[in-house]
Amino acid sequence: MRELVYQRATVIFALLVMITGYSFWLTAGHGGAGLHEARSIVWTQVIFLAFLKVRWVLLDFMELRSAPTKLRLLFEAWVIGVAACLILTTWLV
Amino acid sequence: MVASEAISRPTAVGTAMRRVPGEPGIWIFVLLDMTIFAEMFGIFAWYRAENSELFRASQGAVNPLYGLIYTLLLLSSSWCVVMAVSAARKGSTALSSEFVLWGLGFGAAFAVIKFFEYAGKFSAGITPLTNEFFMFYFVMTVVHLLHASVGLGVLLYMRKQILALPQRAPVDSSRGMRMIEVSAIYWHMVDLLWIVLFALFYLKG
Amino acid sequence: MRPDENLGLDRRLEQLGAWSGIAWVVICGGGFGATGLLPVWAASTKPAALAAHLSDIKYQILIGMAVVLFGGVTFLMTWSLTMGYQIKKYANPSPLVFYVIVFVGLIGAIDGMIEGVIASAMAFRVDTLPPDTTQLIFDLIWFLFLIPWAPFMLCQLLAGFAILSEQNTGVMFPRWLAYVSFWAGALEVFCTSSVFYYHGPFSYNGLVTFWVPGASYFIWVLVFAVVQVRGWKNVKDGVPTSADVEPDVAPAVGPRVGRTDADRVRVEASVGI
Repeated sequence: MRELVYQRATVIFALLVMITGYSFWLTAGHGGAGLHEARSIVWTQVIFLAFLKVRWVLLDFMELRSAPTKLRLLFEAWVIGVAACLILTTWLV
Repeated sequence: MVASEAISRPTAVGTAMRRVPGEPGIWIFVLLDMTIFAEMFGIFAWYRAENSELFRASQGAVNPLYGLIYTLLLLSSSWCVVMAVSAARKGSTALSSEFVLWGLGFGAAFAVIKFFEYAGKFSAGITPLTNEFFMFYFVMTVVHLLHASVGLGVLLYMRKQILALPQRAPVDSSRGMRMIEVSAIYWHMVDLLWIVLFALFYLKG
Repeated sequence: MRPDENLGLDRRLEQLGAWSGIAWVVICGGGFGATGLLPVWAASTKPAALAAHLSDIKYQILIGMAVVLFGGVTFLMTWSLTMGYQIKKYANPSPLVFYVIVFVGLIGAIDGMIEGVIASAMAFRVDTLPPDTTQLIFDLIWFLFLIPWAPFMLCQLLAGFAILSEQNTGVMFPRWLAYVSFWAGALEVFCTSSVFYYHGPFSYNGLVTFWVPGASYFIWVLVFAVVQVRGWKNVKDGVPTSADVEPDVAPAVGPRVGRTDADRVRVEASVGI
């Protein structure tokens, strides 16, 4: 059981939970007020962190890290492309 | 992780061990479904930018704690499913099955708490027709919930496949093992889509 | 008639039926496009403005819909029948799956027929009807297209399950096609929101509610038909079909007797995946 749990995916899980907690603190923390930075900056951080998590789920939970390179790159492109589009809306619209 | 099975097609020198997890079809499904969600994410982000005051004010009625709980539940559920796949590969089918049940439990908790959250919204007079923020909120989270509900069925199917595997021996890429991986990949997709929805609706910016 | 003559006609129709799927996408899609009704105007449009616009494109609508009624209805019917027939022959012999596919094909054809007839009648009388009434008929066209989605989802899901079943040797239908069918089926749910919103992405002209299930249905038919057309070379001389394959009698324990993954890969490679 121990050798099962001690694998990369568990480390990734811990990281995912930590980042989830951190983004929560960024926005709803500080006594519920969140950061007083501009909305666009908070949005950028939140989206960036979310897609970082998405990428880890893809690579380490869904095992794309050891998949054929083209398949992996397709999804990396999705992550980067969608994150970029979402972040850009707050700066350009 | 056990690598190299009968389906692997080496793509280049040194990559002989690379294999498509599950089977190609599930990746086609995942890519297509993620693209549809990406379209919705994009449209939401656009509306948010165009109506920032309305969206900011409406988000005040969304409790971020719910979002945090949902995310932790689904992340834990996904981790359990990863453990289940690893255990199945080692031939520990009983342990694998137990992990799937835990994953199922976390997933079911997600669905149940959703109903409480929606009920709370309705009793506060907030519906999908209240304004554009809540239009997106309800449509996107309900579509996701439908995916998650189907996912619970997929996890049950996954468990059935696990219990049908040979015991105690390392398992090669039989059809059963392949469908176990396919099921896991679907469930992780549900988790991954939620991670974005959490960021869009529950994290106030 | 000699037995082999009859068989020849049936085989020829089977081959043509697959092509009719491609014909449907081109003719129905093209016909719809030619009507000038795309992109669809929002449900929140003022009736007078809508009626004026429709009056401007009256003959486009009539001609486009004539095309849709000619090929759009007929070829959806022929393709659906062929698809059901081939699923039964090459993927899974279940009679019930076959019947559902056939029935849903019929529903689809009738649905399309009613859309075409209503649209034609609307254009026919657009200059004399009150604009409110014209708008209601306009709404009907899109509701007919969208809201009776459930049987189509059922058909797509069942086709997918048939393709993933044990009996499918993959000679005509590769496994990935099942996943495309599941995707197309899942997207049908978006149609429901069209009755609640008068504008925006989830209304009947919405970027999500109209274009996602709408486009994905056409894509699904096209992909399916292309697979059928390309797969014809594997079956035209007669190969073991699902009816000839012995269903597995043992539960899925231990190595699969008789069919290995290497065989499956070989079959998949031969159908051009």
